[in-house]
Amino acid sequence: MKKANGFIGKNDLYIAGLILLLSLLSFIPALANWEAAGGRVFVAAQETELFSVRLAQLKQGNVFTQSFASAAGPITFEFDPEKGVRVIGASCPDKICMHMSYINKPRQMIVCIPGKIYAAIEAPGTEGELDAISR
Amino acid sequence: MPYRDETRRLVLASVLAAIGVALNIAESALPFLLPVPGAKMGLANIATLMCLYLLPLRLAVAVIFLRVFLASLLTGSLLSSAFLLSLAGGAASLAVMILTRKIPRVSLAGVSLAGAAAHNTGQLLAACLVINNRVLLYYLPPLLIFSLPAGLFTGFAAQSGLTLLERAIFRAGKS
Repeated sequence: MKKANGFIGKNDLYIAGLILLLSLLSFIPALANWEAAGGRVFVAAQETELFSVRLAQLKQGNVFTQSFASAAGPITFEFDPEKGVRVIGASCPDKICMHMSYINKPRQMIVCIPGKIYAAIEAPGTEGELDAISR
Repeated sequence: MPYRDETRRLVLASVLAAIGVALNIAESALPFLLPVPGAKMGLANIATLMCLYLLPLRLAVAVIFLRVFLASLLTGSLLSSAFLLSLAGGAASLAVMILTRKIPRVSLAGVSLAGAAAHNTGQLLAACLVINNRVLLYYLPPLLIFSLPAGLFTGFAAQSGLTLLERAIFRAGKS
């Protein structure tokens, strides 16, 4: 049996530091346009956009729900002018998407992996960027 | 080479596979409490780490894949997207942990940390393939940060498990 070394060694701290550095570096693209206002929210399944609404338009209206067919059965999104978008009903087994909170800022998203469907918010001036990186 | 006694090795492999399956199922049954969507503590990684330190590499790899297969079969997610994510995460963490273990003066905590980060990254990349979209990569930063406490926890638990198992095996050898 190969003995494990002491619980935390010097090289372990280097590994932890490397993971922390990688996570901070991967934050950089997410921070861009983070506070940008406006834009649109859209629902897409793989490369097909199913629904889209301008955030300005959304903020002037009332709360509404919309259901979509997905690979794991129907999924229902709630669009709230004050809070943003969330999933309120899903047929997938884990329902992880239902535990995600409201999205209301550019580049935030809610994804249902079994359903292969997601909702995302796109900042103004970046229209098509999220679509582009999906291909 | 770890245990040379074939029977003892097989028993140990079976026990570790059972522990891994039990932890995997227990974690999937736990309520969703973590702040990052899709993030998990990776409790089954405790058994994976113990396999790497107790069994010959080939047997350890077999036990880990058996654990992923059996847990998916028992939770009814075999060949579903959850199974693919589990397989991708397991394979990525296994490969990284095997490599990290070869670095001098890296303890079980370091191996566990690297494994947790690789598990999350592997799962996320597999999820990107499933939904055919790279947008999910925006989840990478919080998932990598979350892998630090998760990796430390599983590393500590595996270390405790190894100590207990060594004591039990030592006692069994004496009697």
